[in-house]
Amino acid sequence: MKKILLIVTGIIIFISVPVVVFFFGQQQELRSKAAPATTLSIQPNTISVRVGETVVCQILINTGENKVASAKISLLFDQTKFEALSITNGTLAPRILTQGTVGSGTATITVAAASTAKPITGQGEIVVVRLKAIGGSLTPVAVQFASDTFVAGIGEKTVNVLISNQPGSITITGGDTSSLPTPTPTPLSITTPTSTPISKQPESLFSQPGTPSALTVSVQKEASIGGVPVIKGKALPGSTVTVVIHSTPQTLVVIADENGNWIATPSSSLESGDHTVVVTAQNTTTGTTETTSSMFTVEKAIGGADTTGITGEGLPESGSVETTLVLLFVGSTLVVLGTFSLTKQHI
Amino acid sequence: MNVLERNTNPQITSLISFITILFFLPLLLFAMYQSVILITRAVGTPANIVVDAKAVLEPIKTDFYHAFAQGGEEAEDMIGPVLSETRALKPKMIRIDHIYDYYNVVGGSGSGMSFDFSRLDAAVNTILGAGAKPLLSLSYMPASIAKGGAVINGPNDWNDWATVVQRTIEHYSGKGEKNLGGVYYEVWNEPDLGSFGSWKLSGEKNYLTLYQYAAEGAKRAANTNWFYLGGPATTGLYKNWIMALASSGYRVDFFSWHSYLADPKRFTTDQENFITWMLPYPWHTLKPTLITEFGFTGDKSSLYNSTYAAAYTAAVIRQMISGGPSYLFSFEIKDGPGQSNGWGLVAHQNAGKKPKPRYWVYSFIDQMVGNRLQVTGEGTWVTGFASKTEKKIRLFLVNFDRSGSHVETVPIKFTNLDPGTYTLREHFLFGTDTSSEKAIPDGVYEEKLYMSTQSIVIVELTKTD
Repeated sequence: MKKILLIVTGIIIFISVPVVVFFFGQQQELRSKAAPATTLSIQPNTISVRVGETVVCQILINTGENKVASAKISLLFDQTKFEALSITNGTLAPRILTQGTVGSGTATITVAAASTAKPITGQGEIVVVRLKAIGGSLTPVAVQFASDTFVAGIGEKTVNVLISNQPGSITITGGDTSSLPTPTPTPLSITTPTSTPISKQPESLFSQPGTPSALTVSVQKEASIGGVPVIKGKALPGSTVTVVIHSTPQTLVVIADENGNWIATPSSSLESGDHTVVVTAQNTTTGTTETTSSMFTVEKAIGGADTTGITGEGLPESGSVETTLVLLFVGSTLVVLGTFSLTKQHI
Repeated sequence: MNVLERNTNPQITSLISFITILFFLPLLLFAMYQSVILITRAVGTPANIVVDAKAVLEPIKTDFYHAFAQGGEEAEDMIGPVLSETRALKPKMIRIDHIYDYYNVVGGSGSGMSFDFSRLDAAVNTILGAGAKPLLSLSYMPASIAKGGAVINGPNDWNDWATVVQRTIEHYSGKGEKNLGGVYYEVWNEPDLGSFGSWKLSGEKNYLTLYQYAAEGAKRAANTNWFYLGGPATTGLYKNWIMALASSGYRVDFFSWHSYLADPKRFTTDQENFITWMLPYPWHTLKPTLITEFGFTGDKSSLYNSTYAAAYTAAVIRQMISGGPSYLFSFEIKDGPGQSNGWGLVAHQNAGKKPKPRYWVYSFIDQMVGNRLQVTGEGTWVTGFASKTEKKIRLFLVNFDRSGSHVETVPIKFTNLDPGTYTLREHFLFGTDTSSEKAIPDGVYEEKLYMSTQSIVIVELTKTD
């Protein structure tokens, strides 16, 4: 009997070992083929600061199933509204691979995991950037991820495992806004490299019942031909209006003017077909929000305008070219006149 | 009047002169415009430094620049005679090359190959005695196995080269021999340079083949502690060399290159380029990067004897203080014999072993240990960084000018200080060291600091109440 038990045990072990190894291997294989699932976002997502104040923004990562080795974070913003003071690594990224550099309208850093054995996983802060508000704005100012933002995964299907990013929106109060043009919305565009949208869905697609609604939305049908419709409406004066266009999500944030009028234009053309626009207005005084929505059809998309990005300008060269040219012209004229007078003397 | 004018109608002469002037005027304008552009580019931005005492960034690393290389000025243990001077540099890593052609390690070839590490051991023991780990540049080809006996050539038999590398690693990293942990083995030195073989990435003298057999030797090395194998140790950061090695599939534990760059800010560009190239190879981004030689010129220069070299080194360390390489090797520890314009931090023992200005930079910057603080307003010449410890806030500034003549009065401002009384110390390397009491009731302290040519200073605030 003992012998039989021993034999049975031996057979079970004999079979179970390769089976366990096989399934473990399968799991490893599944793990190694994890699809890109990493997202980046900026916190606080919306905030209000006064001119002269500094806002500390966290760049948050959610790696999903991915294991991340390193991440290049490039931020873009309006250089007339913000000055980047510094950019450094966050708690989830213990190493800095290239030092943080701040320029006119840009801030860039590459951060990394401690080692391949300790990759960046989960959710948390990988970069911290400090921005100083230097110019007033009637509309929120976008802080966006530049196109060269890159999140490098280890052992994943593709190297860049970043699937989407969510920019931030900062309202700057105070300062001299008298010289600014009438509310031209600063579009805050959520660009999604792949089809996985991450824009936060509104709680309701319809106006909240029982509350007097001041929020309206309409889409200029004729303008929608060509894929770039003009979306406008009314909200409480000064309220922040967030416009989300589906199906390929685009988010635009504008401020209603003193009459409550707001207007928004997508930063890139929309594909032809039916679209839904969801509008949320936040009353900055009471903190309450209203939501409404509308459907519209883009009859024919012509081409595809590029997303309007904020691009940093290079530092201007020292000195004035105009003055230099004037001086050169005057000098050259004197040389010519002198040469002529000498020639006349010889004659 | 010349012959032409005498024989030509004056009106025609005037006309020709006028046409000539009209023709050359645009050229003259263009040339002058270009000159003005060059001149205006030479004009830079003065610094206006603001330190935010509450904006704390990452911890400052002070070990990466405690790395030093010694060239093969003499075929012997060069560091031994300046051991105490070297030890005082608190080196973490010391690199030597010429390990096979100067120390007679290898004899014979094939099955008749023999090894004698005794002379190289003496040099390595000196490095260990200085408190550092060795980085051994696997160079050059032992004459007994080299084609034509020339040490810059490949071997007659690549397996012999693999065996040489294997035995070297086993000797120093082997648990049964020297038993050293964390030794760096760098495949060759400046392979792209004509003096060291003018290796390419293809053809008969293919660096990748040299590396492949070195990696094979490393693979064969048995019973060893962890060690690092890497390269390509080129004269600069060259994309084709780095990418070739990164994509070779061979064991690469670190990437190395040399940087002889006049502009300290180019070091940042190099680091950014390297990481950008490596992003498609995520595992490589996490590997150590080593600049195994650096300086403002690869040629000998009397400037290496001056504060120019000190300011340059400080300016480079400033650029690398965040996101820099794992190790930045200053070249070199000691001058060769009879050199009055050598790269050495210390003069040759025959010339009195006197430390040069650059020698004092490393310990000076060590004072900056702590967490980095946000600094804005660095200029073209004056750059710096700040740090914070529990009691002190320090600002490090260096005025480095490649033309060697720039002076600047720098506005400096500390903001977000805790209100109170502070001791202000201004310590210039090679200059004054003064202290005074300052009441800072509003948390802001500002002053204007005169920085002379190639000067280095630490401004320190210590709260006293």
